[in-house]
Amino acid sequence: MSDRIEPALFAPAAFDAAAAERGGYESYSYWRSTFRTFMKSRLAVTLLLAMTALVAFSFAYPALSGADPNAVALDTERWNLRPGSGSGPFGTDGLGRDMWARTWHGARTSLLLGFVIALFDVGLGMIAGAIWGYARRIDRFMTELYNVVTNIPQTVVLILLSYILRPGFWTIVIALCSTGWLSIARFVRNKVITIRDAEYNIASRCLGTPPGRIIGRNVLPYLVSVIIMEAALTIPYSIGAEVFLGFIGLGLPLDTVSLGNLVNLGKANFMLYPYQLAWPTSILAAITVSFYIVGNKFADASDPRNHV
Amino acid sequence: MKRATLVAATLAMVGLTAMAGCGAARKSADRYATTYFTEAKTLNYFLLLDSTAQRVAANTQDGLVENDRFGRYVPSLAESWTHNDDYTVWTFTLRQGAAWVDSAGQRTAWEVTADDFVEGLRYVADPANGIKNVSTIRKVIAGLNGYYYDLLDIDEGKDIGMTREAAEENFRTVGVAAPDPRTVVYTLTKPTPYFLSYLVTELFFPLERAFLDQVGAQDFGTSRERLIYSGAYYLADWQRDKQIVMEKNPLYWDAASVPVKTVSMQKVTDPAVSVEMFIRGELSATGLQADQVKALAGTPQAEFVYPAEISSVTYWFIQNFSSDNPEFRAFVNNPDFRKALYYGIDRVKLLSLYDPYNPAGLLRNTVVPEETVVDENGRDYTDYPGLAELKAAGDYFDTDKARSYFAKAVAALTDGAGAIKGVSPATVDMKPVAEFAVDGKLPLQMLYVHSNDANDTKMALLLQAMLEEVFQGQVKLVLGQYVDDKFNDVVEPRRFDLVYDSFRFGFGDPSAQLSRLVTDGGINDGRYSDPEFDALIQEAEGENLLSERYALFSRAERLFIDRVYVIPFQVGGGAYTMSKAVPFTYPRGGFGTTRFKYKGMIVEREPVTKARYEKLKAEFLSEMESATKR
Amino acid sequence: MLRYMLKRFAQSILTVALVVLAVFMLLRLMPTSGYFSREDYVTMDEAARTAYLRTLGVLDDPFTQFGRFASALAGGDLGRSITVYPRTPITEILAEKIPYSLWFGVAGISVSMALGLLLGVMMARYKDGPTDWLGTAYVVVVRAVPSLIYLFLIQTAASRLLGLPMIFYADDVSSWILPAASMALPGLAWYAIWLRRFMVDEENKDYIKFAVAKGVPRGKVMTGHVLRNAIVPLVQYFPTQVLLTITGSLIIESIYSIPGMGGLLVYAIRQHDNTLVQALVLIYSALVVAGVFLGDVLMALVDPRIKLSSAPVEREAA
Repeated sequence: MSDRIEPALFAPAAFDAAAAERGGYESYSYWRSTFRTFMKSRLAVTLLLAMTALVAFSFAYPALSGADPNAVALDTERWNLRPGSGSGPFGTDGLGRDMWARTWHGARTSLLLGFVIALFDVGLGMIAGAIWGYARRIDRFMTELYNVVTNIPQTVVLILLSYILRPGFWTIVIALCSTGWLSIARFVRNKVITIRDAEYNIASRCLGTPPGRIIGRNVLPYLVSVIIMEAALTIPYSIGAEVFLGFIGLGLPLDTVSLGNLVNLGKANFMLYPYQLAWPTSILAAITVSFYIVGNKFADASDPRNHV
Repeated sequence: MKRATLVAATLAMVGLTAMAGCGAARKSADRYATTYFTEAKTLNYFLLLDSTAQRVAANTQDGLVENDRFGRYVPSLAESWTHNDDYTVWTFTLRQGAAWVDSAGQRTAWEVTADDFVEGLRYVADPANGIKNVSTIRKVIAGLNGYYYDLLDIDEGKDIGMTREAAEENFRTVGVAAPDPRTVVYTLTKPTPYFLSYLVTELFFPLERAFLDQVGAQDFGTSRERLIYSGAYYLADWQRDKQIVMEKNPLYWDAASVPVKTVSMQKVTDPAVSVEMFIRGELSATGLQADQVKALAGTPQAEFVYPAEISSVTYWFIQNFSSDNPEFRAFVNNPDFRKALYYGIDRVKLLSLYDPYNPAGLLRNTVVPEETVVDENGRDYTDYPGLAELKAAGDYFDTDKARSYFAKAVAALTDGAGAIKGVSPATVDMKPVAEFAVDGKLPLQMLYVHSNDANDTKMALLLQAMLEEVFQGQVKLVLGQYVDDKFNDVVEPRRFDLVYDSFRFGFGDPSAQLSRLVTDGGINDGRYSDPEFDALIQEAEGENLLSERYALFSRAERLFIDRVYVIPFQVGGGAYTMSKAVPFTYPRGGFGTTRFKYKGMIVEREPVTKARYEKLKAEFLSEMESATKR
Repeated sequence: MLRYMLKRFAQSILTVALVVLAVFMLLRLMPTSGYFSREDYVTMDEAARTAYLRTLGVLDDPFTQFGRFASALAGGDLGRSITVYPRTPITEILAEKIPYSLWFGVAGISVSMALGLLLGVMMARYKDGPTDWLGTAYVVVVRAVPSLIYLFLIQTAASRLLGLPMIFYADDVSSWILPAASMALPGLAWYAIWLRRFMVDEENKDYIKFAVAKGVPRGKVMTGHVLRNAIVPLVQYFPTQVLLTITGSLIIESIYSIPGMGGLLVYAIRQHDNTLVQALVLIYSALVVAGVFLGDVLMALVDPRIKLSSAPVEREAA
């Protein structure tokens, strides 16, 4: 009860701005924590490796091997060869084309499609969302636009646009991005508003932290993680959409090798030559599943609440 | 999770017991069950837009004449007919007491009378009703063309000096009349010995005016209740995109010739499903693609597969004589190059994509189909001299001939060093189908346009590889695609060098195709011009004795093919079938609607085997020989 | 409250009108040549084609056509189909087709809700256990692999293994199983994964930790507090899902030959059937708007903390 504080034990400290900041920020690095949390999940790491390998191979194989996925065999004996029977590891299709080469060329096309769509969706969505979040004047207009666009069923837009424009790579990109960017913009806008007006940021502002620092240290990390996640999840979605458009006859031209075309062609002969569907499908599933899980795990890891 | 598994297991068990209950039923000899792929858009039998509607119309409505099982024209609602000497006035005597029935198979207040045929044509002739096929007969029936255009002009707001009512009054002047309830008289614009072949089309079906007025022109044929029936069946059920059920008409004038009581058609989207359903006993008949035939090899079903009937539709390659591609334009106007293409396209290999077993069976070497047009002596048009040799040539693919013709063309068209005379480098703009640069030198670049359908794409790639090999790298096929409609996207805007197209055969005379192929003809899509051919056709059109007429037409056709204005490619239809219906017991024919009747068809409990089919076919061919020879 | 509802209603009408107008004008970008086939060009001359187009009423300027459409609509008339089912009143087509999509949709939702919520609860309850792991694997496959692939495999493989019919027959109950099960698959995954997520979130909240610390039995905490609160955000989507069942499933209806609404829009667009497209877009967007509104009302009903006010409720799940 009678422990008395001895003033002699204390020395007054002078205010040191640099040290104050070090105490505030240095012990916690957002990116290091995100990385550490992500690496803790063995599944995520395995899939990340698998994903990287798949993507790398999809781009490396067509570039390096020189095998032509559209090389037609004039000899009908070379048509519909089963895997291993004197053909490539995945066999040949109804025109004697090498399924191995086709699968990887297809994977490259589909991945490229996914990347481009992700780039546009996220890029446009982020810029529009940030402006939307900061500029209150356009909020009303953007909200109305968002309401109208999201009220049109997705398939209507997809079908209408693919129909009016000529089926092709950029048509699919436009069709998918025309609605995709808005939902990302909306998401970013909400995040920007909540983070900007969060109490710790108001406090930070009151303490005189410059806006650039708030954006760089407090707002951006949240958004970057969201962006990476959205990008990762857009890829399986775009690949799926391409398959769907192929099903209703509005996909990529059939002499373009893509996973969607391979699936739809393989489906027609499934009873007779199941491998023509099975192999492209397995590669497709491996790509979409790994992107999906890695994207989700990254989202979890990037949530600061999971960093403790 | 345990509970979830339990639920799943229960669901599965419910499924198993339920399925044990069914599956056994659904077969009987007086029922014919089949599938269809395109939905009947409307039941209005004057507006037939698809093969399903055509099938329904054929079986639920009768015309004046119909096809029998040999393809001859036999009496239907008309008992007998006569024509004048120059084949311009045809008089039909109707059967007495043919009733109109409703969608419950009940007798209505009306009988089929001569007026119904006049009203039918009046309905077809009114542009406001939007009957697209009317153009087939507009210039055949006297006065019809003028009547049609008068109404059209009035509808477009042009002042032609009379009201619509007055113009409609003028239908009296059109060449169809009902002097009494049992007599119909058609007056034609020019001698037409083959007029009966028009009568098997839906355009000459009867229409009960009182019923039309009752339901209203807008609603006519939009549901099975808004229609009455004069055919062997009435429509007992129609669920869009699901099923069509036709029941035998108890009041039909020829009920004794209709063994099948119920025709049930199920809609499916995937041909494989149809085959599977047949194997499970749910269907009486199914078509098969070659791949499906392959899949059945070694199963008990394999012995039931036999070739399906081929159709009178002909596919041919069209070359663009006025192409924007200067390289191709130079070559295609050289007859030797066209010959080179004629011999250089390995059609059998292309067709092995569709039928790996017997691709040559799908070839057709003539423009006018065989077994469709027969003269007064029972001789087939394609057996006339000139065409008979073409038909017998079968697969005429010949690499050496192709190469030597090509060498001649190259010698004539290039400077010897590979540069094509008079052609300078250019960019060929055929957007959106294709855009490519040509350098005015060999190899020759030509644009082949195909649809975005899987088989079409495969064929294009195969053709590309084939021509590359046959012409030793001197012909490079550039591939272009269209999405929707070949004519709108490709042929009409001239965005092709080479494309194939298919043409329906409209009525029973070679002119149905050949008269449309002359300079500026309706299907002269290559835009070639050959006065010699035009003159021959004109001469043939003026000849009324069929054997003379056909001799002239066949000479013209031979010249046309020798000069390779088109390259005949393949027949329509084909592929394979499995069926419980006995082949050759039902009508056949090369055109029109009544050939789709199920009248006379005998359906058995077990599928017809291939051996039995072969036997029946041999018997049928000899029967037909004696039936058609007079 | 009433004022808010009225305002909301007016806004919805405006939104739907804008959507329909936008699609209407988009459709006018397509060339009229689509109304004709090859044979038509052979047999019909320019005048005949123009006459045909006039009978279809597509030659007037777009705003006149829209006005005609709107005024007919005011009288409850959706018009007649042009090319898909020529001259047939659209209401008749819808009356025929909606029941199929609706029943399969409702069956699918019931199964997916029942099983999905159950799976979600089990996954949350035994978090990180084999159930959770298997459930997650299922969800990942369903959400990541294009549905066409697994639906097609179900049709071919399951119908053979279980001996079920390959297509739908109205009079054969066993033929309903595969399409209904296929309908349920994506929804099941959706319910399971979000319920699990919300329950896990809820479990980490202080009041739950306090309840557990206080000694409330775990089962009671889970059902009484965690599940009840976790289900609230899901409820919001329920009306939209039920209402949108009438749009049908394109792939499932197509592979099982179910004559529902699924393919109708695609056919209508591909065949330039403008009146039909307009009618469908109108209905679909009206349903979405109504669904969102009903969802908000339902939220307010199940969660007393939420009040309907002028501020729209933020949506969380997607």
